[in-house]
Amino acid sequence: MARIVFQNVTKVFMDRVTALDNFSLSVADGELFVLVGPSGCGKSTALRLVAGLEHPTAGAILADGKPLNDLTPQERNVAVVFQNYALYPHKTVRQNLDFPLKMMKLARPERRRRIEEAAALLGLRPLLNRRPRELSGGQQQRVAMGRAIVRQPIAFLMDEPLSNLDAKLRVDIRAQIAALQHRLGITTIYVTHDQVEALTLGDRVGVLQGGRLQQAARPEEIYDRPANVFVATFMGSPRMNVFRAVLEKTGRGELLLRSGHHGWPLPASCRRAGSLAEHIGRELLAGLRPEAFEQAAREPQPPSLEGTIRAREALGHEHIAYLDCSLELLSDASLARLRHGEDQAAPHVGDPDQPPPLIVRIPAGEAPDPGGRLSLRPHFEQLHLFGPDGEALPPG
Amino acid sequence: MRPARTPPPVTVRRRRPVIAALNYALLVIAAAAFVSPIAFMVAGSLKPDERVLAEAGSWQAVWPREASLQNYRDVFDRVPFGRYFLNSVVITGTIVLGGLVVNSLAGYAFARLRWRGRDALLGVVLALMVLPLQSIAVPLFYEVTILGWRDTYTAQILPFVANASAVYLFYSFFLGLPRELEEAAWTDRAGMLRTFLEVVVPNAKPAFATVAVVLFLFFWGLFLWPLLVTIGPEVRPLPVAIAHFQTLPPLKWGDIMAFGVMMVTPVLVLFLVFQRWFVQGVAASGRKG
Repeated sequence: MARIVFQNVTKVFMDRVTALDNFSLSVADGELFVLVGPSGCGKSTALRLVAGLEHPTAGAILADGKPLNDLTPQERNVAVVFQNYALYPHKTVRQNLDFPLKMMKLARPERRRRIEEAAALLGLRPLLNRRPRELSGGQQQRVAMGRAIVRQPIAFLMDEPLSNLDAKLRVDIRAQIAALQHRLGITTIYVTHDQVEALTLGDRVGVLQGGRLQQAARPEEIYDRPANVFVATFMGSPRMNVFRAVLEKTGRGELLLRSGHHGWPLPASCRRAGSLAEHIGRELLAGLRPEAFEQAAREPQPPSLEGTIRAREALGHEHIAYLDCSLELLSDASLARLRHGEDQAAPHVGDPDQPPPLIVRIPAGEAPDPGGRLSLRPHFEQLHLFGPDGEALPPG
Repeated sequence: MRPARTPPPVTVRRRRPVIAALNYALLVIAAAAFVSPIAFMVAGSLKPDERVLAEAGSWQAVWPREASLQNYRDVFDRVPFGRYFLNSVVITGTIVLGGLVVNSLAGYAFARLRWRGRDALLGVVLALMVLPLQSIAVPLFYEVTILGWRDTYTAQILPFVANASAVYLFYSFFLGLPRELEEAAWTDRAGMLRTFLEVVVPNAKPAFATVAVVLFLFFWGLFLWPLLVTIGPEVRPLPVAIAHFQTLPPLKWGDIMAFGVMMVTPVLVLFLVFQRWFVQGVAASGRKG
């Protein structure tokens, strides 16, 4: 068990591709830390650096204060669970579990004891004499976990261990992994591209983008107080609505959020209200998650936001509605441009002729059919405000 | 690579019977063309000497009426066949076993290790693949003479243990193996050699079988080189021995056929035993590179 620290780690592949850019992170002893980000963000590279399968271009990786840089994978005593499990196909489950123990030169009774223990823990007993290809995906996943556990390593490194499983199994095993990790208390770095997995599993979550750590915090904080527009829109599905807005001050000293022809007074409960004075008059980015809306009656007071339903997805207990409305919403493309910098061509996403829709969650049965009008009351206590550069405004 | 366990299902197509018959007729003719020399040899080895050529024009060429093993006895009486056979087994066996070890390690180094000059050397290996033995036979002969290795096993084994084609076949097969298996082994604390022996080799059986069969076939039948470097019967292998046997009066075709059958049998047996892996290995080597 160990505390794992990345100190200003940079990894450049073939002098061209920067996978990690001055990456610093500290994972506490016994913690389950989830690294999440889109593909190509450098999360797997971070894991492979800890395992010793890659070498950092600059910076250091420490385990309990001791630098790992010069150690081979064999000397690090970390256990990796690979995405495709990498079980030895010619060995039985028992031999797969035994291999790391044999390499540690443990005595035969001790090896047998540890295999039995892990097999009991993971329900592998009836499978011990089978070969990997005779197992289902979920069983293979458990064997891969078992091979990591028997070692009693200083850390588990898991590289998208659930991505090859079907949705139902993924949820089951996700819970099992969390329970197992808390029971064993071994420091774990878990890499995934699935933000739901990150939020449900992690003691803390690190959001990675473009080789840079965007935010590392507890899941609730990541969701409730995202550090920038990238974290805000990446975490949460459907993603947060982001629109251009300006803060104004009324004659009575109230703060007003203006976007297009709308102007909404911000409630006193808006926790940022205290420190917003300096941003008055500036162009800002405002964010509201799809659940931050409530369907409003047209009477007695006029609704504060109206839209026409473009499309609708039924999820059973609720619907996701895509609305055309008069907010100046940012498209996926312009969000990407924001995070890559203006000079870089953003990946082209969506239909350029169609303005991005406002995405709203609505209880089932309340949503009109496409083409119908929907009246909404936004919950501004859940408003997120970002500067024009996409960074969250500092809290008051 | 995960070798295919089950062959793809054979698709049965209905054809018009005339075309089907023609197809089969063609196949039978082609098969006869390949099988008839072997059948002629086997039949000839079992007949009295004078009937071998006399019946060559009739169907009896491939059908011995009163089979006897007399010709086989003659071979052992006239020449030290056992010695020749042993020589071939020792020479070819050592080349195959040594070749598997040396070339697989070299192929692994090219496929997985990073070292200075690797790509340049891989180019050299590729170039060596197209170089026929005949073109280097004379300088090689000169070298062997200087070293005093003429008429030894060493001269017939050592130049051929390292083999560019075998290195390349291993190299391309190892490239196709999933890297995660080795990475898993390293993080499981297995060293380089341990990983190679315990994880890579067991998953590369088709490559080993292919190289073994190819090397065996080539060196079991190699004629020119042992003809150059051997003098007496002590280290003379079968191909040189059968050529020598033909020139040994009296000329008896039945005996030569018997010699031929005994020389070819190990090749056929080995091929039949390893056929399945062999085909897999050839298919796999074609996938990369």
